[in-house]
Amino acid sequence: MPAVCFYFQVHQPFRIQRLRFANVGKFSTTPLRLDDRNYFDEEKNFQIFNKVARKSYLKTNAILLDLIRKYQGRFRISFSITGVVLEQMSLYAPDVLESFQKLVASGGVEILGETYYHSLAALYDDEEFIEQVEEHRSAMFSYFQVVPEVFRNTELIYQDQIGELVHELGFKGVLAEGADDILEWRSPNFVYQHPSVNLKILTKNYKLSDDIAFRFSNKNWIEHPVSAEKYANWVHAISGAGETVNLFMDYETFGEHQWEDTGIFEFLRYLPGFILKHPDWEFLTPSEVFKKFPSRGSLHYDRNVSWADTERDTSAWIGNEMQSTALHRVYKMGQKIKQLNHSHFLKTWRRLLTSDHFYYMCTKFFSDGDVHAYFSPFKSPYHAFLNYLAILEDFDLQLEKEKIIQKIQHEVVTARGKFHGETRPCI
Amino acid sequence: MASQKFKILMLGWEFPPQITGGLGTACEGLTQALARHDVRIHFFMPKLYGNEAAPYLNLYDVGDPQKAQVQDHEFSDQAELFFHQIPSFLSPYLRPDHPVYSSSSRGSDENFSTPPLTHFSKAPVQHYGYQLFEEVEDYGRRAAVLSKEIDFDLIHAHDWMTFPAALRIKQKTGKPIILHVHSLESDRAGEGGNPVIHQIEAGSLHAADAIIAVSHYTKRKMIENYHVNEDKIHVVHNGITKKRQTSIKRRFERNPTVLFLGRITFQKGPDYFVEAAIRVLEQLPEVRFILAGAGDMLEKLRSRIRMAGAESSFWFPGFLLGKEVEEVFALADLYVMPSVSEPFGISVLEALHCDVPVLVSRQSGVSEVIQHSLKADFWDVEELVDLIVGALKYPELGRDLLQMAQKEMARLDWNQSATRVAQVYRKFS
Repeated sequence: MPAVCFYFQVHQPFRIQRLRFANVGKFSTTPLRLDDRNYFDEEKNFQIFNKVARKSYLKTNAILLDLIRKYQGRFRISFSITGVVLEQMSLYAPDVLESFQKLVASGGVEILGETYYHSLAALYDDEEFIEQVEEHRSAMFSYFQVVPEVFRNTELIYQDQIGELVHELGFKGVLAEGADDILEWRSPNFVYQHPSVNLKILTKNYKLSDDIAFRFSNKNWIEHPVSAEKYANWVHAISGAGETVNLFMDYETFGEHQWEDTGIFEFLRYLPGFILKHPDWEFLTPSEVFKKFPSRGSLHYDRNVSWADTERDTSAWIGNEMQSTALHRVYKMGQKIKQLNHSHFLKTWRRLLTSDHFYYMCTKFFSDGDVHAYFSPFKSPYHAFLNYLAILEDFDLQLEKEKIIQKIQHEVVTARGKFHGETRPCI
Repeated sequence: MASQKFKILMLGWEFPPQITGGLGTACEGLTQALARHDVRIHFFMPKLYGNEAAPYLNLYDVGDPQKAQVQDHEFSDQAELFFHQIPSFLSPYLRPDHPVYSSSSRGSDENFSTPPLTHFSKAPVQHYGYQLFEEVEDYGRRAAVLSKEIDFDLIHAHDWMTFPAALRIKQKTGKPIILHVHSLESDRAGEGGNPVIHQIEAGSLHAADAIIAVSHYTKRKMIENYHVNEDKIHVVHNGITKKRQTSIKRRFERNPTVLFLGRITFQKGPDYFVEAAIRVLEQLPEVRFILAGAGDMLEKLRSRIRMAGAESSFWFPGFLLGKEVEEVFALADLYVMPSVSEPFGISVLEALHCDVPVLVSRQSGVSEVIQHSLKADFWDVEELVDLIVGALKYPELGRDLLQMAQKEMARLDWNQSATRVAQVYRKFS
């Protein structure tokens, strides 16, 4: 019995504040302790989060909860929810958090693992990657009382080496893009496995996924408009030629990328019914797919594959000189920050690692005014780069100050200790 | 129209190498490309200097410059372009040798508007030459006489100076007129402007059978300022002449350098450049600024710079032409065009051609076609400062920007502009 495997990505970054070079290092308040210097644009993040939550999250959650109840376990889905979006829910809209918690508690939902900060750490810093995955794992437990068993990396970025790390972290399987050059003659509709470690792989059926995520409302598309029934027929056509149809997409597809007036909610509401009309078909979550179907071969990812753009590579984040400068500079700060052992700075740094900051600097499609431009809070990729670098410069100065403060404190404490005849520093 | 050539009577006022701005460059690029479009052009000029010949253009010598003589030339291919000299002394914009600004006696700060017509014969008109209106009139009269000797289908006139001539010829011949707007009086003079020029622009634009605007920005301005029927306005962006690779090597062993190049007049926003520059120096004292060009605001700006004690950070090479322009681009890390109102801005394309990244005012036509530029509102000095500092601190930004902008440039050539202009011509065949 073949399965449809739905996975939705839920993520919102902490967008940064406007900072001019002229103001770098100019601290208006708290001359000694600079903990409260906030680089993130609270107001903008609040506004965008609320807009997306009202247009997309709440409505889609309600539909999915209805469907899960209606089909009594026969409709099942999976989510990956980043730590940073959960923080925004707690900060800006607790009702949205509750709505997700209710959905997860329904029993029809599997939660996947990823990096807490939706970062590119897998490409730059293994140790940091592991720490962020662990942080996400404990966040999933505290928010939802679940422990993720299957992993998906930021933007579905995947390569064999990342697979090895994910395996070491204890995950059973991973989600990846079903890129043509990786699959070659194979179909994305089967379970595969890592060539050297015991890690199963689910490959995205990008054609059927993008039919919903990108093409659904495109009037120039020959198939437009697509009804739930028509789409279910496409899925059913795979009968006998596949075991799992992996439909992976951003959760904002529903209501935000495809607006309500495109009929996307009606589509979602009726799709499960049409899929299940065919007695052979069912819905499964990724770990259920791995349990049910054996691997049909090993799949070798010899390059960094992602689910972005037609290239399905990492060039949307690391495609130009500005992006590599920004990424190298911010990852280079990691060691210094960890030595300072300062939780606020560590948190700030990690929020600056979120992949979206680098996506805003992407120049390759800027002129077409397409999705890259639509999702950027900046006027241009050049503004995005300069703003980010100004913040890094300021952050660097703060770290230097903190280093000096810690050194002085250490000296004071040691001196005081000596005075009292002790050698161990204490506060 | 299959095989028959379109015969165009084109009315211009400047042509390289004698230019004061982008108009001459645009006329050259456009006519050169049109010549390949089965179009025969009779190009009327108020004065020829004898050195207008471009490699593609074979010019005859004009006999007596006081007579409306005709000189015509065949191209090597089937394309043809005829040059006619209308004796007149049109100097609509300042020239380096013009008394108006070669003398620094004028200390007035009121540079922003043109005085009323009555002041003409006595005092130099702010940014126009002496007796300009008489010359416009003269040009029109002589052009009308000369047009009788020529066989043409259409009149195509460039900017207000030539519009009265176009109207006069239309009156005589009944041939349709296409007015090509490279700039408007409100671009050049801001809020004020000369009422006579406004009148000429308004009247001519309403009478025109079709209008070509160099940008959507200019199209919008015509609709807003003069309520011109928008259906007859066609936007044709300027192109860039694919020059041979510049022989001048970029020079790198020097201080970071920012360039302004253009008339030092209200329209080009040199005062915003200077204010931004002075504030950039607070953050990056080693930066050098080049203020290249001449104009009525130069003295005022020099004293502003002296007051700020920043003289040693500035260089004023004066009005530059041809190779000198390439040489100054070779010295620059960033080209800034902070125009208050810029219908197009061909110099931006020239900067990119010389591998210099650009920061342009949003109030410009060129920003419609070059997405990959730094853009700011001309009045936002704080933003100008921030972008200049950032671009100098992080040269990778300039390299990314150039790489993408040059792809956009590749799509901008005069051939494409000429194709669009020929489409407008065809409406009248």
